Parts: sequence; structure tokens; C-alpha cells
Amino acid sequence: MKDNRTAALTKEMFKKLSFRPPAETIAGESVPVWRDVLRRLASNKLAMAGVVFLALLAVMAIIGPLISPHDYFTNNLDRTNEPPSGDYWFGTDNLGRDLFSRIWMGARISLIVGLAAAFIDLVIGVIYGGIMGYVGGRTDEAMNKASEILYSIPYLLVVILLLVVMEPSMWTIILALSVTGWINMSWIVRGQILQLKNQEYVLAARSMGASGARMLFKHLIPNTLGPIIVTLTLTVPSAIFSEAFLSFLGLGVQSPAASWGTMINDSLASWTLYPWQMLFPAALISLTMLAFNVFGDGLRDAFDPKLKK
Amino acid sequence: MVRYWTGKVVSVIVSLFILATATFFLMKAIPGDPFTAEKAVPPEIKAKLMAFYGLDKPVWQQYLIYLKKLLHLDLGMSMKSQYQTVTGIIADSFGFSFRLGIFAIVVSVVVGVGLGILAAMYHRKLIDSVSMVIAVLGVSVPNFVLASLMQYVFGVKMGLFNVAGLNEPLDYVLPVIALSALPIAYIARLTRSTMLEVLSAEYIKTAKAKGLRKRVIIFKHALRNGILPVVTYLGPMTANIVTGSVIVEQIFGIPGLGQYFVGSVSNRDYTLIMGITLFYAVILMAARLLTDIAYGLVDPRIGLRSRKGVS
Repeated sequence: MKDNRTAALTKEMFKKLSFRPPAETIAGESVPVWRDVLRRLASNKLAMAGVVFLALLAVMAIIGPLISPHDYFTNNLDRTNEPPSGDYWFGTDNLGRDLFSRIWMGARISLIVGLAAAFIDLVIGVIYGGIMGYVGGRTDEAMNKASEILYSIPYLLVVILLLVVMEPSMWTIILALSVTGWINMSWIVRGQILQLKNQEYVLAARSMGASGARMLFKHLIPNTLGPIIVTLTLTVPSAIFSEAFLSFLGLGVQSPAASWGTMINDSLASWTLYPWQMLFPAALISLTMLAFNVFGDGLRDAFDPKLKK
Repeated sequence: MVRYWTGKVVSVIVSLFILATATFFLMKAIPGDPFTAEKAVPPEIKAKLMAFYGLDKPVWQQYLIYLKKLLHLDLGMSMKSQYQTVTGIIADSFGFSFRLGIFAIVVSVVVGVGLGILAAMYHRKLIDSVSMVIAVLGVSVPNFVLASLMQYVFGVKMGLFNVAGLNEPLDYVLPVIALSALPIAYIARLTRSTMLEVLSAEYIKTAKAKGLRKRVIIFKHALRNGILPVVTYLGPMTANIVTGSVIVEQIFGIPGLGQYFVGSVSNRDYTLIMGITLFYAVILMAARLLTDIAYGLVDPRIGLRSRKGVS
């Protein structure tokens, strides 16, 4: 049988043809995950509006106090409580200080507090959560219990206690916010790593003798990036809120430094007469938190389109 | 089951103990004593004061006395308001905060769940968009901004409500709205997303196929499952409302516990700070325990799992 068949095959049958069958085409361009995420994010108009607003805010926080003809701390008692005008663009407060400069100084503080708190949460949370998830067993149990106990203590009480003991300032607020802020992040990282730990590529890396730290930082943590970034974006507005809240209560940033919280508090006494003193900081803090929230929601949808409803 | 609950209770006690210890030593870490700021107290009187408050003993002894008193619910005397015990101040002021808080919790749950259900029922329609806009705004507008704005618009400009105080039933409206805006937003979003999930489940289709009325399907079949995440949110919500009350009481001039807390912090009234901090912690942890219990009641599967020892 076999011989018969081979005999039927002549040399001519194996001549090269000029015709080449079309290669299989891929319907869409193959893209890395992050580009996919960015594309989905860019198509979310609300989230992009948030990004644009935040970019503008950042620019104004940097150049705002510089382009105003007045600085943010000089009292000008001849010109107190002035409405917005060509000279004082957002008006003046009860000490005659330029509200335009103060607003953008407040933006600086809000952004620094938000970003610094998020960054500290990120570092501590990722390390702590990474160790919990990766090492597992008794270590995980003990560390988890410890973080649970710390978490059960209401954060505002911790923050206020620390602020009573330390000098109130922006840095104290950042420190106080970080004392309990990282816990949520560490739990998210832990959960993600527990899920990833049993995946094949992790087993492969381990069988090739990768060290613990390499496994953690090279393989596990990069794959948990989505939830980490989303959590971070949503940490920022809550840190901004906490700073304004504490400053509003008089526990945070102290005069002459300007925080949106203190500005709103200062305006409370007289804002029936001078409403702009409250409207500008109130509008800006609300818009900033709104922008971070819609951006964070957009990111979450972009990372996990299944969640979108 | 028993093990699960003893575990919970033990961790609450450990947390309270840690907080009590931390508060004590933080207060001790502050340089100076409460009487340094007052003008020229003669040394004999100061020594008497120190002895009266037990501040002349070594720190470890003070700590033990403090713990022992805590067990007897004795939080000591206020250092700034004379002749007032901390327990007395808390007892006098907590009533206001409690009533406000309970109203805020009820309003949050009713309005939040209602908005969430409406949004899920009319998915991608106008009502859905409107309630989600409300939800995003509720998360974004800080409660002190909202409270001040409402006070100005409805109190000062329109004269609909009293600007401050908590004497008539109407006085509750503005503070309760300010307190519940954020929880409403969260609950509405939670309810909406779980309801959307539940509404596409098979058993809902079955119920529809049986020809049940929409109202019955929503409230009897879907809501039972849709409400689960809301129950878990009750603990954090209490925390939100308690912290919110600190600032809302300040703005509306309500003589509640939050008002005293802020006052004690700015007056450096250490015993009062410690007392109110611990009191708040007890409330919040009790709320968390209640949440766990409620969750077990609403979702029998939870209790089953813990009985198997998975906790």
C-alpha cells in the first residue's frame, strides 16, 4: 500500500508555486493590556473630563500663586472682604488677603496631601500585603489579625489623637492619615496575590529557582497593578477630604497657610455678606473630589470591563 | 459558631485595650501638664491639683489606676469644665447625637435603597441617570460644604429652617440631610449594582414567567439578595455618620457629643478627649458587631459557613 502511494508522487508535484495562501489575519491589532486599558479609559468621556480638570488644577496649583499680582499671606487691612475685581480676581478675605492666590495655595496643599498619603499607602500596603499573601500560613494569620485590630480603631480618632500630640501642620496630617490608611491597600494586595500564587507561570518561575523577592516584585505585584491603581485613585479624594475636614475643625493646616478647609471655615462667620469667600473653595474641593471619583470609577471600568453596568 | 463569636468579641476587647493604652500614653507624651497654661498657679495649689488628678504618681501607677477606673466606667473628671465628670458630659450630650445619628441612619438606608432599586428597575433610563448623578455628587461634596450651603440657602436666604439648634422637629431636617448624603450615595450605588446582578438571575426569570407582579418580584425575591452588601456597609456607615456628626454639630450649633469632642481637643482637656475617644470607639465597634450579627440573620449561608469552621 505504502509503496504504491509514494510511487504516485512525482518530482513535479513538489515544484514551488508562485501562489501563496493568505496568512491568517488577526481581526484586531494585538495590544498589551495597559494600552487596552488606556483605550477604554479614553473612550470614557466623564473620566476624561475628570483627567482634564485634574490636569488644569495641577497647573493652576503650580502657577496660580505666581501669576496673581498679590501673594497669599500679606494682610491688607484697607481692602478687606472685597468682591472679585480686576485687581483681586477672586476678591479678598477678612484680612484683605488675596483669595486667588490662597485658593491655589490650597490646591497645592490638597494635592500634596492626597498624593503623599496615596504614595505612603502604596508603599506600606504593597509590602505588607505582599508579604501576607506570599508567605501565607502563620505569618499571614498573625499579620492579618494585627491589621484587623488596627483597622477596627476608627481612623478619625487616631488622626485627632495624633494631631493633639503633634504640631498641627500638613505633614502631621499626612503622617496621621498614613497610620491606618495603608490597611485597605494591604488587604487588596493580599487578596490578589493569594489568587495569583497558584497560577502556572508562578509555579514555572519557582521551579526555575526565582528568589522570593523576585517572585513578589517581578511576577506577583505587577499583575495586581489594576486594583492597586484603582484603589490609589480613590484614596486621593478621601485624603483630600480628610485634610479639609481636619483643617475646617482647626486641627490641620494653620494660618497663614491656606487650605480649602480653613478657607471655608473662615468664611462661615460672614459668608452671608461675602458669599464668594465660601463659593470658590467649596466649589473647587467638590469639583476636585468629583474629578478624582469619576476618574477612579473610569479606571476601574477600564481595568475590568465586566464590572461595568 | 460559638468560637466565631468569641473570636469577634475578643478582638473587639483587644482593640479597645490597645486604643485605651495608646490614648493614655499619647496624652502622657504631650510636654507639660494641663495646668502649665493657666496663669501663675501657686506651687502648693498646683501640687494639690496634681494630687487630685493623680498626676503626682509614677506613670505606670497612673496607667494601672486608669485601667481600673475604666473597668468601672469611670472616665474621671473633666480638666477644664469644673465639677463635671467625663461620664456626665457624655451622658448629657450623647442624646442629641444619638437622635441625629439614628435619623440619619434610617434616612440613609431608606432613601439609598430606594434610589438604588429605582435605578436598577429603570436601568439606562432617566431615573437611573438622575440617581447616579445624586450618588456621585453625594460622594464628592464634602459634608461640611453641604451643611454650610444648606444652612445658607434654606436657613438664611429662604428662612425655611432655623439656622442653628435642635429644638423643634424641623430642626432635624438640615443636619440629617448633611449627615446622610454620603451614605445615601454609597448605598444607592451598592443596591443598584447588586440589584442589576440579581435581576438577571434565573430565579427572577422564573418568577417573571410565573406571572408575578413586578412589585412582588422586586421586593420579595430580588431585594432579599440585593440588600446583602448594604448590610455589610452598616458598620462603616455608622463610622461615617459619627465622624460627620462632629462637623455637622459644629456648623448647626447642636450641643452634642461631637461639639464637646472638638471643644475638648482645642481646649486640651485630656480626660475628656480620652473619654470621648473611647466612647466613640465602643459605639463603632458595637456597630460593627451588630453588622456581623445582622449579616448572619439576613444571609443564613454565612452562619452555616462559620459553623463549618471556615469563619
